[in-house]
Amino acid sequence: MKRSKWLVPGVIAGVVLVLVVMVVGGYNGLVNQREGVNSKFAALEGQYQRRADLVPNLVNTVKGAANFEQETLTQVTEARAKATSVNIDPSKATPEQLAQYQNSQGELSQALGRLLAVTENYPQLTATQNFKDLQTQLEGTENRIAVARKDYNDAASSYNAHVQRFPSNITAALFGFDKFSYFQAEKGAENAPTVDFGN
Amino acid sequence: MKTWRARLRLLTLAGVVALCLTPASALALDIPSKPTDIPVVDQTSTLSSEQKQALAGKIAAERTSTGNEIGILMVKSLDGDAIEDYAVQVARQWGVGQKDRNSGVLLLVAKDDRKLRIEVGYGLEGALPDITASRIIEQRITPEFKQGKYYEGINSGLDGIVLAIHGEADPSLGKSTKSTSAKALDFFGQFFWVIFVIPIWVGSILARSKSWWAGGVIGGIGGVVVGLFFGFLFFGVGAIVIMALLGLLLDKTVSDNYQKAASKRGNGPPSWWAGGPWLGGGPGGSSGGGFGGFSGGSFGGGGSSGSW
Repeated sequence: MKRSKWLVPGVIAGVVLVLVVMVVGGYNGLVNQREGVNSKFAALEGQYQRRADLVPNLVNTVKGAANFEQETLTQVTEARAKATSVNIDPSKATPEQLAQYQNSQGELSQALGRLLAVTENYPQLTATQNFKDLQTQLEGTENRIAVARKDYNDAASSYNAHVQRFPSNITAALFGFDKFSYFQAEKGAENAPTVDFGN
Repeated sequence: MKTWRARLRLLTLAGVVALCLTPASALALDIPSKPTDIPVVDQTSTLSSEQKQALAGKIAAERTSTGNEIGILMVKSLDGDAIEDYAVQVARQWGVGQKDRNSGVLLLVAKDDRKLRIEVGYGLEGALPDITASRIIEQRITPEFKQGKYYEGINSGLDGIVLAIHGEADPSLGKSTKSTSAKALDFFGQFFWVIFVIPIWVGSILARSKSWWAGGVIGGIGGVVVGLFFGFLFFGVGAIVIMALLGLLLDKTVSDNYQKAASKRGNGPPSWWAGGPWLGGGPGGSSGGGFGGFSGGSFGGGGSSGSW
């Protein structure tokens, strides 16, 4: 008799416990994954910063070459200033904000591409070890950016799937876990920067 | 002049690859399966088996003394993939380098494309920066490749890589590492309270309490704690169910025992065959001798590419 009195509350308590653990476990899983995406974004920001840090060095080296086109250099410096001024929080950014961030970095990429193309007209400059080293570092940084961006997109894609899948979507909706935006392929990126040697 | 155009094209290509951002970027070329017997994979049949053994010997020596791992892959052609993209995926999939230090280097040669790349793991980017990788390619490897001397180029390049990374060694190497049993003992020492004292204490309370279900509840709470600690959804639910059942069983047993003991002679001590979860199964020892596969290092696109 005494036992049956505790049976119902016991079962209820058990069910509640199971539910609590499911929600908490799902919540913690989402938090871990979200932090994973954030850290991938931080790694990408680090690589962008690394590139921005190389630019003054590159500009100074190129400046030394006689009569180097001032306009190309100005464009690079301006693009760098713009790129370093745009900062976003990836977990709160809308696709438009992320696109804006991407554009500002993309403009620096293109300005650097133009600069490197123009340096081909200055064989004395490109022959120096200093310039070659900068070129290598820049290449390496571009490649790291490519890898970091892909890593971010991969992590965001896996997290976004988690946020939308059952049953974790319930926890996600309950605690306001939003999807991350992706980096998109840029328009015109498939064309190498064009250099106008005329005029 | 031409080399600058080539470099620029390479740079642009890397950018284009970056922008083709489908979540799982598909490569035209398959990634060869992880090598397990020898870290030198030649799909072009350029190297003789003696030459491969000689390279593998140098790689093994470096691995034993510093923990740094080097892989060499020769493919015929990249089938239009960018070498940067292919190299990082091969290096990650193979897991070249120690997992905790990311101390790996991959030398990739695409023979018919006349391209090569040294891919450097996160942990060795300081010892082997891009500039050094680029010099190894330009000064040691491509001059030999231009004359068709592939083994000589790779061998000299490998020497250059080892020279650069040799100073970067695993600090735990050379120190006496604790045996598995000693580690298990440490672990046991840390969890002594959890394993012995708490179950005895809980058991004695449960035995004295009149209820038969409190053990189940405590077990359930234990399951919640386990679930929270590990954070796996199904693991947590399973832990609750199993620990609640065990708790019930424990409570029932100790309560019965206590009552028996109490009825026999006044106030006997509570039975403490509460036991405890014996934590078995230590980590398996590493396999000795031979190459035995890479250790799971990761890569972030460091290194340098070249052509000949």
